[in-house]
Amino acid sequence: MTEASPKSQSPAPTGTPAWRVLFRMLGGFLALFCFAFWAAAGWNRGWTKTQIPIKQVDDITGIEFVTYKDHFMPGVELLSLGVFFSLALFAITFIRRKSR
Amino acid sequence: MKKIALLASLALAASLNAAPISFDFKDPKGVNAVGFHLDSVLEPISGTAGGVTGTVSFDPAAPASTSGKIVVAAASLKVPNGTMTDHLLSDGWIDAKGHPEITFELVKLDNVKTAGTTTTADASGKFTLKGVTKDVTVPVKITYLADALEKRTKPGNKGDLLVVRGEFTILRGDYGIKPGQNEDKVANEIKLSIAIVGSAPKA
Repeated sequence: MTEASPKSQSPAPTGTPAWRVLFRMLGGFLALFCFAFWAAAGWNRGWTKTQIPIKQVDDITGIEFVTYKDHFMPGVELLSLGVFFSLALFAITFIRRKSR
Repeated sequence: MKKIALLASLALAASLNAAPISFDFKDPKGVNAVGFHLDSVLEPISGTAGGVTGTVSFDPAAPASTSGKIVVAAASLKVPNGTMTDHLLSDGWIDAKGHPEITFELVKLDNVKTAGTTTTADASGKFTLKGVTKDVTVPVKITYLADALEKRTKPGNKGDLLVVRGEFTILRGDYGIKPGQNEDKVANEIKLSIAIVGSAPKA
């Protein structure tokens, strides 16, 4: 019996390339970060707000009036955009080069 | 002779008291605003317009004879999103540059009922938005606060206050604001709520 040469013993490179793993992790991290940022900033299920209305009441007349305070509150469109980019990042890791 | 003079002076005093008072609605405290609310499908939109001016002539003894005009600066319309506010004021929507004033001119008060200092009525008038004028009827509540001005401003500043509240609904399409377009994002029906105070300083 002849022993197999060391070259034929080494397995073929079948693991996932490092860049794919990295992109998948980045995609997941981005999605998590976007969700956490959106949730922490007020869980705003409407459009993004750059100012928030503050209701006040005039003591003498009883009129309820609104003043605005500068405050950034991301809306669902920014959350969607972040999730879209993270999914895109994740998706490109599945693109394979055509084998000849 | 003395009796006649006394009666004449009483009649004069009564007529002076019954004279209509002119109230200026440019509020120095910045409380006056007209709120607007659109119950759009994607998301309700709420905002305010703070640039309120105008005058109302009100006679506490004859509220039905009230007349006046309220003007809102179109550029003062505001929603909580800066970009959305810019779009709202642009040519395609409100066109704040081309049509800088939104006005309501009172023509008459109907169904006038007064209880104490408060009068309720249906105010019919001409409402102008983006250059289009239409007749509207607004149920209003008018509260006359005699000698209340100094409580709101500073001691010694004698005068009266007139608080006007009301709500009505318009269709933006009726005023040429993108009729039939983008109604899922920006509802056609706009609910307007008014809560404004006018002051009449006494000399």
